[in-house]
Amino acid sequence: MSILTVDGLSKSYDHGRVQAVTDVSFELAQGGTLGVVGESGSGKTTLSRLITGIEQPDSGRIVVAGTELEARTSRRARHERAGIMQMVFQDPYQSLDPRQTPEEAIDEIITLHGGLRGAARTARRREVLDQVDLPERARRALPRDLSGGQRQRVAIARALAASPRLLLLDEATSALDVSVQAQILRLLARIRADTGVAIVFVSHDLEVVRSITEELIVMFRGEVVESGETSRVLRDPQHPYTRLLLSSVPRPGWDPDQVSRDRRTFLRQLA
Amino acid sequence: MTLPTTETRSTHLLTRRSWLAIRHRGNALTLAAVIALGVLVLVAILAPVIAPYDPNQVSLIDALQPPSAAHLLGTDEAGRDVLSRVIWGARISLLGPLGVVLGSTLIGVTVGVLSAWRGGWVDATASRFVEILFAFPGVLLAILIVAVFGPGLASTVVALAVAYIPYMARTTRSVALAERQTPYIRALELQGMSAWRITSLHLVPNIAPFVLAQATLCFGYAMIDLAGLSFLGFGVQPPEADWGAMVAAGQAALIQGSPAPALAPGAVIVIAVVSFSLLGEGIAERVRRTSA
Repeated sequence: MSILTVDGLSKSYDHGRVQAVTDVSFELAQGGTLGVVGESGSGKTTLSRLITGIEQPDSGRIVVAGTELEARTSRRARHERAGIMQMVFQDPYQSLDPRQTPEEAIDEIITLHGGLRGAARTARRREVLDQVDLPERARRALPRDLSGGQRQRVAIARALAASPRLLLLDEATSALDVSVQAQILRLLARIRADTGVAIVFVSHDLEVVRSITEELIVMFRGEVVESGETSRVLRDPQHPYTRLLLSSVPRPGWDPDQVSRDRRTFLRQLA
Repeated sequence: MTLPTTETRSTHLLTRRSWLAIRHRGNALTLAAVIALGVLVLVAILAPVIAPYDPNQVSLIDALQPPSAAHLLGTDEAGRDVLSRVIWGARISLLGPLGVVLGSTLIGVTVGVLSAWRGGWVDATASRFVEILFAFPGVLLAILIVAVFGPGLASTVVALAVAYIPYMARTTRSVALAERQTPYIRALELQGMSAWRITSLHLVPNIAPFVLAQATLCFGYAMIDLAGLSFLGFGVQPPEADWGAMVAAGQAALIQGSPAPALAPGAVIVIAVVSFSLLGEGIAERVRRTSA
């Protein structure tokens, strides 16, 4: 059974003038990993907002663990969904309550979902914070005293506290510097190996996606232009847009002007 | 190469120093305001201990005495000790605005948060309600309420609390609206946490400093308005000691050459109001700096 099925999803803004997501379909198996890549405005953020239910689609279905998301969700439905799917946001500086220490934040979620209290809650909290390798000292500090990487670890811990089966990460490493980014990616890989949680990783960064996902969809102007196994798509891209994205990644001998020319050619062909 | 470096460094130092000076001056003013208000609160609490006379002790033989060793601020037209009345007056003069601010904050914050959280028709309705209150002069509203319920401290406090709701509601709505968009609130919503829990345990505590700054500013304004209403005879009724009522009662004496009965309470009102304004600005500035 798949953990997430997206079928013919469309969403437009401004009374249909801006088509953010057009007829997007994909499926993610239990414990699988899926990367969603595309440049800014490609619709990948809208897609993640639709999957989490922050926004409602114009048409199409989203099925999470066998349950279709309803258009107008009750709190009970959101609560149930939260036990299955959790999200980690891009900005680690704003995704934690500035007045809560990591321990308090995790406790709150454990109580909300597991109903655990007292010693059982303390044990679960320790387990979750150990899972993300948060240093002991940082566990009782306020977010303003934590580094970006530590904050993102807390955000991941908060997501894991609900024991989800699907983790949606929206540009979760984009605000971090490269070495911290690598640490977080290793952490995610380990968490996945330990818990078997499925991961949807939304990013503009192909290298990040390459390192963590097995399946990949490439989005351009709200549509999926290419999909398949991550290694295959990145090694042998079929769609010109995917080729363009790949050529935009800076590497030795890389020519930014050539990328701009390629991009213009691509857009002209499209028109 | 070295010259420009030293130059930039010196200008850098200069700006840094002047910035420190400004910051320091701001802190000093806030500190002075805190001290002044602390003294006033202490005076209000300790009134029975420190007031040299019974504030309502009438002694017509001693009427309108100039300041002396026996009566440091002289006596009023009924021969009551002005200093004792200023001291006792601190109680009502501080409790009145406190009631106004508590009432308007409670309702204003509720309306503002509800507005920001629910949006849609709730926000539209609440915003129109706030605008109508805004358009209606507060003092006029107070006079209307007093006309219906009769003069006295309670009715003026209730009236001004209603009149101050829009100031609290508008500030709260705008900061709550910004706070609602932050990812941590979104994350808690996605967790399936109830709106009540998110707003009461997360959103309101995080916007509290803004609300506190606004409430402190309102405290000063409420004090002026209450004093004004007392002055007009709508608020605290004689012979109760209240600064606004004392200024009103002292007018006649002022013309007769005894300025103390009116000027002493007037001066204390000015000190209190300025202190509350400075404190409110100080808090607001601090909040701006820490949230920036």
